[in-house]
Amino acid sequence: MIELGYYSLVFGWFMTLFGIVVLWFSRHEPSALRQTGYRAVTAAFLSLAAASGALLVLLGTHDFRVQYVAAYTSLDLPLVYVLTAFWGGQSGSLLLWTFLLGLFSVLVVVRARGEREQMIPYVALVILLAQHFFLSVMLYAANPFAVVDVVQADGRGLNPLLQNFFMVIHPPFLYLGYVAFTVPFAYSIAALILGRTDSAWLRASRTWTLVSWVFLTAGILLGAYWAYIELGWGGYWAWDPVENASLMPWLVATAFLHSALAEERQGLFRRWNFALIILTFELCIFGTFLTRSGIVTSVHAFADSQMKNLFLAFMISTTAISIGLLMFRARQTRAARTITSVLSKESALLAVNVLFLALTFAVFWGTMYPAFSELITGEKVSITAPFFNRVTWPLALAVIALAAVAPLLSWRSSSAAGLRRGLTVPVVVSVLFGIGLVLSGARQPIALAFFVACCLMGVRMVLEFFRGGRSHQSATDQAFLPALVSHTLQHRRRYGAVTAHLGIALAFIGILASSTYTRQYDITLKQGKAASFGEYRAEMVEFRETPAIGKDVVYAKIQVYKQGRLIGVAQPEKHFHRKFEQPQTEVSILPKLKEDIYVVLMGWEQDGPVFARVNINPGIWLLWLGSLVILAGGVVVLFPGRQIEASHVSTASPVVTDRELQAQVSQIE
Amino acid sequence: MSFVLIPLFFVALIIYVAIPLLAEKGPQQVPHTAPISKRTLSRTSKARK
Repeated sequence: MIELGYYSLVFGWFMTLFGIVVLWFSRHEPSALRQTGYRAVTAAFLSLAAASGALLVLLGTHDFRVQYVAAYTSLDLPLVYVLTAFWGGQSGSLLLWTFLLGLFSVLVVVRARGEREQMIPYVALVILLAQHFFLSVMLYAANPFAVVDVVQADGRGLNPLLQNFFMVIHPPFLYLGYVAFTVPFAYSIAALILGRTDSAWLRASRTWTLVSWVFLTAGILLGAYWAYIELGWGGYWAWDPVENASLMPWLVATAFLHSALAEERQGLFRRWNFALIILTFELCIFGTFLTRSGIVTSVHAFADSQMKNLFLAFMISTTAISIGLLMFRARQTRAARTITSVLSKESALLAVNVLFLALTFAVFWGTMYPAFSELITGEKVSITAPFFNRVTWPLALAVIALAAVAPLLSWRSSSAAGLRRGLTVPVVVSVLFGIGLVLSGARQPIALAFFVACCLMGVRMVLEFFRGGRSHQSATDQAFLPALVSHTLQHRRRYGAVTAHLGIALAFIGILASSTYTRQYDITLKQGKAASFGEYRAEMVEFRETPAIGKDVVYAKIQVYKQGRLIGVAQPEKHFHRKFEQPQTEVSILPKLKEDIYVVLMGWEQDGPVFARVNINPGIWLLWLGSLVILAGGVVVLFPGRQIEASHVSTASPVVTDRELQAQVSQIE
Repeated sequence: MSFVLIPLFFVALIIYVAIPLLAEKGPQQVPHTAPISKRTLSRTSKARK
């Protein structure tokens, strides 16, 4: 299996190189040579599938001759974690990246029809180049099939923090997002090479962009939930470099999704869109690099890594080539028209774009500053959450306010009277909401402004549904509810986006409530003696140590009462793994409608008291609900209805859905 | 076993990739069907005479 895995990587390396050469020489017209190039794409994928299968077998059979297997698994590790150790380390993650890219390249080639056909050789070529790079990294710097000098009887095992259900799904989702952004990037490069700088590349890659965005969003949210339930510090986002690494491409990709709309509908922001997708791709590569490299922990720890040079070379060369192409096509990528009014949808989209980029820069600066500082001055500084909060909150507030107003604006220009009409109800509701918050004791001005903005956005989105249903009702004489449902289903793309925005409003309310009004209590528990925290009372009914597979578990059973009524039993635990020195905390969460009661076992004295930390996190469930709503909206946008919204179609750049485009192409054929 | 199967796997992939090239027919001999100019026709008829 080691041979199969290693030689599959070598074969894949040659096959991707062969595919690149063949596709380049057959780029002008369909030929047998081009078919060979496409088959090279499939062959490269099959060899990567063989390598991935070999690694899974090696992990499953505990073949400790392989360094990777010995470093991330052990005999006592449950099978599901043995297999998910595939992406538990650096070289396995790189193999997963390349495997997914191979899979996507096959899907791209299979769909080589219609207006895409001319672009596909270039798209496949760019993807093969990326695959070739990752295969080079694996073969030269991070070989997952490298063998150890002395074979041990057992492996080191997987970090206990990674032995969690979310380890099974969070990294693959994140990687699916990262990797899938290579496809729209490849389309943009193909369009630039071909000089087809109209919005054809956007239409062709639209599904890929949305799929990538949905996966990246899901990956980030799953990571946040994992951190919340596993890490035991009470929060879900610590502005950790690895978290920031996934947030940066998400921010730019979200900006891209919005400005792509302006190009598809109005022929605007062409150059800007190319620049955004190039930046998204580079940030995805940067994110992959940052996640596993440890460069932010210390630049010196990473100084002699071959991987650093390979990644830097790849990122610099792809950025230089992409920007070079964009400059070469500067004349053709000029927008079809310019922005004519400040009070227009395109102005709002531009402003949102600028804000997203400012957020990205702020996160990038905060993440990389320690590394830059250490490199230049030799001094290690650390940038912590307060910096990120201070910088990002005002920008996020502006984004939310704009998102509330933007759907009311029309393309080209809007009337102030129309805007006033559309905003009256939401503004009144949100101001009343703000007054209600002040009356109930809320005092922090930033948090209040945020709550009001989120309320404004949420009410606006609900009204969008309502008005759509009403207009459909008057046109069809249906009852309101069926009219609302059929109108929404007919305009899935629009209402999918509205749903996602509604989810953002909900999630932000959850973030604000939980971060602003969280309360923390350190309580001391003794059996048969109650301890109180806030309006709650806790009683420890059991405290003991039990052996489990590969570890000893210490747990406390704590009954939690509110106004004398038992509302739940918390069971926080501490795990002492035999192979890892650091004990692991298992949080116990009692989720309630108003707030989460988050209990962490901190320590104990021999035959003495037990110490626990309790966080009361109000409204956090709104964050998780909002996350689900965002994802649901994203998925709905992925499956747009047949009808297009005629009112939004400009004659300069007609808008068609993918399905319609295919229908038109098949009619022509 | 693996010494046979692994190379066989790669050989199968190479054949799969090469099939379009192997199956491609070479350029066929096309009979000359270009229209004959009036000048050539008259020359030919003169020669016959």
